[in-house]
Amino acid sequence: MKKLKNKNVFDRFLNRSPVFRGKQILLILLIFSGLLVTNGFALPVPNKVFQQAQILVSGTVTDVNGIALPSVTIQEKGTNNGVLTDFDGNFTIEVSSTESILEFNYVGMKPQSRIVGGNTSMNVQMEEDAQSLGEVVVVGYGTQQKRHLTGSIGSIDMKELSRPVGDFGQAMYGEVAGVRIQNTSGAPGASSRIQIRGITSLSGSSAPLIVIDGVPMPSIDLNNINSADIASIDILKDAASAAIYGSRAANGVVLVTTKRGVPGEPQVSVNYTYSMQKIMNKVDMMDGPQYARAAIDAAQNGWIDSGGDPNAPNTIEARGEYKYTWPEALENPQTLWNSDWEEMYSRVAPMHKVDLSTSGGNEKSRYYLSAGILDQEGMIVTTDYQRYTLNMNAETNMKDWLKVGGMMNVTYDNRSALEGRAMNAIREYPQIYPEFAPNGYLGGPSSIDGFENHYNILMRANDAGHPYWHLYGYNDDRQTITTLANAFAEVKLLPGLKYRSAVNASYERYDRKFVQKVDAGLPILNRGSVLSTMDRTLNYTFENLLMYDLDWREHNISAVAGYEYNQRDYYNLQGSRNDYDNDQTPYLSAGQTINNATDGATSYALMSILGRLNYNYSGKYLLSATFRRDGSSRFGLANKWGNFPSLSAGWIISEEDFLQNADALSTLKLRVSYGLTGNDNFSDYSWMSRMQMVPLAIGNNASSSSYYPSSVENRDLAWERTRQWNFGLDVGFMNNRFNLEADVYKSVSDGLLLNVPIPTTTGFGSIFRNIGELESKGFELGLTSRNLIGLKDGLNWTTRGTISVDRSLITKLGPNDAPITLSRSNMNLRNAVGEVPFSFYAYKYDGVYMNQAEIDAHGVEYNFPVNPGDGRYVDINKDGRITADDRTIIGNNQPDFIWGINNDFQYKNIDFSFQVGGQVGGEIYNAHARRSIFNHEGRNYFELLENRWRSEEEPGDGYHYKLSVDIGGMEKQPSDYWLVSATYFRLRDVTLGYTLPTNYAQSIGVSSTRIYFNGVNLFNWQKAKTIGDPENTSGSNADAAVSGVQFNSYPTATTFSLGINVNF
Amino acid sequence: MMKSIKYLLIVPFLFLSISCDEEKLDLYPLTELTEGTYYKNLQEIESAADDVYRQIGRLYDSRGIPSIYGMLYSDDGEVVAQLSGTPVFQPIDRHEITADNPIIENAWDDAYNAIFICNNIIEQLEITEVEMDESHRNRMIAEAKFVRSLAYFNLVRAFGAVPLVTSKISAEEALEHLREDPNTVYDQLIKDLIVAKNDLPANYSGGDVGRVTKYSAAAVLAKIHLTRGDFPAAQTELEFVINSMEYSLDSNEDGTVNIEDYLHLFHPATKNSNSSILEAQYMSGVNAANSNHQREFSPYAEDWKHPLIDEVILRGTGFNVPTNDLASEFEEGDLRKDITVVPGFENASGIWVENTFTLKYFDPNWWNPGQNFEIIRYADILLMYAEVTGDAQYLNMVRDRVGLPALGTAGYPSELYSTLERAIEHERRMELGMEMHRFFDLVRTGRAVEVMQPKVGKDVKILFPIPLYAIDVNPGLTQNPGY
Repeated sequence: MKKLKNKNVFDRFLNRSPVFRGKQILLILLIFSGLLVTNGFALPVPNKVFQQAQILVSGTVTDVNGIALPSVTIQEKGTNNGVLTDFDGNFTIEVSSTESILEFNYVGMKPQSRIVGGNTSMNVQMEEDAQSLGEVVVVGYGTQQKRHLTGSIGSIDMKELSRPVGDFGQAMYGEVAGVRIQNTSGAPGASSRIQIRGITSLSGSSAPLIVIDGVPMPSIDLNNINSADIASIDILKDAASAAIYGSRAANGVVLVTTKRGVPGEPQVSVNYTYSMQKIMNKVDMMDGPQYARAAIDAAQNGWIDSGGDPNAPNTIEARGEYKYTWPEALENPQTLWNSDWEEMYSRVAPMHKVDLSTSGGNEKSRYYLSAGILDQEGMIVTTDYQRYTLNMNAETNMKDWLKVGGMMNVTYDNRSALEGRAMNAIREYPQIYPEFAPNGYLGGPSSIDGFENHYNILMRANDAGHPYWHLYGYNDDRQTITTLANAFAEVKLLPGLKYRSAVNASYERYDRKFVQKVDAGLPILNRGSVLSTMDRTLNYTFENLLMYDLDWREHNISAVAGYEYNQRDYYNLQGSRNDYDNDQTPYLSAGQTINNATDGATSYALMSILGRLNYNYSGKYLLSATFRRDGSSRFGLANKWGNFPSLSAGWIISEEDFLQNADALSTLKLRVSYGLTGNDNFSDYSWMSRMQMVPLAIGNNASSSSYYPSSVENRDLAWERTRQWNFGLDVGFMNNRFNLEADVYKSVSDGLLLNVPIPTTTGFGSIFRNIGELESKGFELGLTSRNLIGLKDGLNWTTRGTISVDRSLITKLGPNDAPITLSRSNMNLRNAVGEVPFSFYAYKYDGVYMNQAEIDAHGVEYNFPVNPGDGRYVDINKDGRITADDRTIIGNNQPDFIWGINNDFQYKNIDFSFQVGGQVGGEIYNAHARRSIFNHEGRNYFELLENRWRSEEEPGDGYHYKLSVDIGGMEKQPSDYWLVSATYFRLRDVTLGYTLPTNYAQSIGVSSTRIYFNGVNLFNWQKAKTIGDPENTSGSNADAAVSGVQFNSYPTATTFSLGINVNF
Repeated sequence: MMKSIKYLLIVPFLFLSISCDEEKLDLYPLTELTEGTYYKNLQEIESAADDVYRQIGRLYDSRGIPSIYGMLYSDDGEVVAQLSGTPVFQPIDRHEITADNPIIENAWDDAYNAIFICNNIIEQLEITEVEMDESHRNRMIAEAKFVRSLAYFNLVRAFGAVPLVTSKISAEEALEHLREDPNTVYDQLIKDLIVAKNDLPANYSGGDVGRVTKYSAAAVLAKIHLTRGDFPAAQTELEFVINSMEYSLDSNEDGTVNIEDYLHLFHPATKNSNSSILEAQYMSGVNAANSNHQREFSPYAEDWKHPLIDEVILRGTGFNVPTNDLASEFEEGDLRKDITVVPGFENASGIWVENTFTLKYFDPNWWNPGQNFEIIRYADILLMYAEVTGDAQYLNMVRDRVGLPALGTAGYPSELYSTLERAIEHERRMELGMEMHRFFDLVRTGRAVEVMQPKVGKDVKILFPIPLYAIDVNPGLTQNPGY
């Protein structure tokens, strides 16, 4: 067996060896040559225009501390001639004469001009612009200097991340306080879940609105934008900042800005990363011998509890039912197999990522063009992921009063996903079986002598059983094409007054083919089926904005007013057929029975007017007001329109005269904001009652149908409303060497949308209604400390840390505050006044009854027979009986706090960074534990159950009750026995980079080269033993109810990467 | 800069080009109809009225109240499956039910949804301005009232006092609808069924055969009276059915009454025969109104080969297979046993596996079956009539059909069934075995505890628990004792 296992792993490794397939090499070469050609033709190369240039000027640009500044724009005044500094701040430029003036520009720094004169070497020190905290931040429908922000906005400059990131959600991990990023699963192509400031909605959706270059993308898969193309991510956290997005903003807004060209010489950048992924944390299941013993225990315990004589022989004659007996072979487990399925069906999986980009421009026009390929194999065999991205944008100042531009981003991806229960099978199938039995069929009770009568207690190879069946008996291929595009024109109407009109559009197409094969290794052939689906979404927005800026004496005014129309048309087509003759033609056409052919179509329209007014007086006193009015097709007839205002103010105290002499204090700013946002993230037409068509039979009348009302009308259906206060404090010490950003907030969400359970005597189980009120309070802290500032070649060390606390409590529910209990995967989730939303509501477990004396001493009556070794439950209401009234809140998924710390080091050409982070507090319902521990259907058990109660002599750890084939009674009821802690700590990321010295780089013809190593999830500690990763969430991002429910997730990866980045 | 002033002119133009047309926000489903625009013509009303027949199919579905209470909870049916069905079905079989049992909850919800659908169409028919024949309108109302009564009859027997809802109610109103005394519920049912009996036709022709008739209403009325111990009233209704001469034991209409007529009832193609007074309608074929019984009542076993389909097909759900107790009660030579209890099957490898199942729900179309289910058939009427009249000849008609010796003659196992009551109980179990009658019969005759207690070895509760979820949502509902 061992030998076979190794061979399998080796075979699979060879089959998918980590070298590029020929097709992909060709594709990369093609794209690369395309880029070079584009470079040659797209824009005149400035150097050629200035052929007569004679004088070569070179030098270094640093900040006041001597730290090299890369990407500083250097432009010869009055010409298109310009360059950027390299990674070490070095530049070389040819100028036409000694009269030439060089202009140095860098975001957040004061611009500088130098006359060339006789200097051919020029070292420039740039000073921080006192008028700026260093950055410009993208806000809704415009930009703003970070210094002048009055709301709470987190920003990530992708340039500053030295680590490579997967989907762009990962870029935010641990970087912005108040933003919780969770890794939904380790499956290739799975994307992160973003949650900003806790739950504001009970209807489910806690996913923020994502806007990419102005295109609102409410349902985008984060993978469908290449993170290499992203320049910055700005996160509107407080209601005042987000309110300009109105009825879609209650969960915050994430604004993604893609890279633009910068004036200067064309830049070409190539990045290649090669990674190996391995499973971070295997879930420990019993091995073969442990399982054999457990299976005997379960049969014997069931027998004893049913009143049987413990010493009765292990025969059907003596015990009556097969489930109380076991195959003799279990008593000699060394004669059985010991198949570690997770080991067997996983691999060290390679991943390649190549990104190529080129950009450039001159004073008038700028362009950016990129292509990327990601090719990832999954750690579980049969899974993989490929993604191809193309991105381009360009803009040009056609006239001094007219600017036009646009962008286009196309992503195609393809993934082979696991069949839904494959991970269950890998973990739950007993390890006593071989992959293939001696008779050639899958290993299981029906293929192994002596086991055939025991399939009911020892799991079966069919259907729910053997992992091979799940892995190789199905194909689930999914492709997506996402296209985003926009075009805009910006007209200067009057001094300070601009008009901008844009069309933003996205088209998403999703295809899936799910094949159940005819032959999956069993003695009987399967029926075979193919399910083919196609979804397409066209989403477009017309945006018209008027922008006005005025600086008059000490008064600075900037205003935006606009009108927007958004429509989304969705169409879905689905067909399935059954009864295939073979697996050669897994297409619909080859199936003999048409199972269904159906489609769905929905449309959504949103109409809005919006405006913002920013005012500051002498850069000290800041005021901002926004307003949005949304009309949405989703709202009920009586509630089509909603208003979403906000107001915020700031005071930069450090600008006041009385603090001018406080040298240590470089920044002190107070912010306060209040805003109202909405959530319309529910399905279209929810307010209407629909007539459902169903097939009907009367006599021999074929093909007739009847109609019935399938939902309840609610004309008052409206958006959820969140009102939020935010108080912020920004402090910088010692020339902003230490920066602190703190925010506290309190929000009240009312009109919460919920499928409110109603008595089914109405004919319906629930009605979708605005009901209830939720209060959230939170605290966020972000800290940046430049611990060591060396000179150019010295050691630099920066630490950034974030910590976020959020407490959400339900304050009102429905007309009479009656609690609402939902059921998810056999666990109850309760929404009750004074409790955390979706708290777990079940019995309280209290360890094992060690013996009959303990049962008697406890003196509590159960509805079921209770024997020694069974679980003990708490009689909450102390009435001497365990009944449904003893259910209580046993936990929730809300963390006490989440935190992250980044450390960046730089010494000469070496950079090093590491990031740690984690979560403290909160519970997870492990639905897998319920299946494994409680059903006793022959599934494998957690290794943890080696500590189970076996007998009074071997009582185990006193917590884990005995196993039994007849487990019943309370063990079937949800309790906190099924919960695990969500607390964990992780070394998220380690990056070590080396940048080639400039002169060496230039000698090989490139402007800069960096080689790096990156490790993700190198160390993990978690409290929970029975789940792979507490971060994983089940279901979609949109269902808050299941964020605390975990099934068997695809394992999370520990990833090692080597990468090289070359810039020409 | 001045020249750009003229471009100011394009601004209002652009704004206008996408006008603030609020009608753009009035979007309605594209692939479905909405209730707001429905019920506008006779065809639409008929389509909604016909949905009550789908409700009969749901009420008598493999997981409906009659199946889980009348059969699984009794000594007729049991669960033989270890996997996923166990935690929810097995407690019913073993009399270890908890109030949160999802199968019971679903059966409750389905019954009330059926009641809603009946209430809704009754209201629509009462307010509609669509012109239609008055007798047609009354027939549709009668059909809806009939189905509503059927739903309540099952609810009141399985749960005791239940909320009585006879109109469309809002969520708030539902909180006020608490459990009503069973007598109140029965009074309503009797009232509705009398209306149905008056307004429904005696029979149908063509595509309408299979709809409920005045005799269906009378038969249900008879069962209600019998359940309440009102024998004279039951006798009147039964005589109304018997004297109509619409029904016969000769179900295959070959002029002879024998075992073939019995087997004919369970033939997949037999629909609405002359033995059928009330029947749940299904249809075989893909995307048709299929039934679930065959699959759910078939062995949960690997590689099982259906003896009549003769190929290896997917396993069944394995709940509600016949008990050995039922099998052993058949008299020697009772041919009804062969179809009621099949002792086992041959698996794919040709090995005999002991695992009982019934063939009463057989349909060769395993994946999309559509065999009808007879809720009340003529033999049931005759046995009830024997019960109310104490006249054994109606019992013997049923025995004679399958060639068994008559009660009172030699060969009748009178040592086992010494009274007419016991003989009827025995005969009903044999004749109607696996047809969802057993536990109702035992409760009706007051024999449930006596018969079941020794078999399950536990306290036998006559009533199911009110679903915990229903109480969670409406705390005004009380729980049945013992839960």
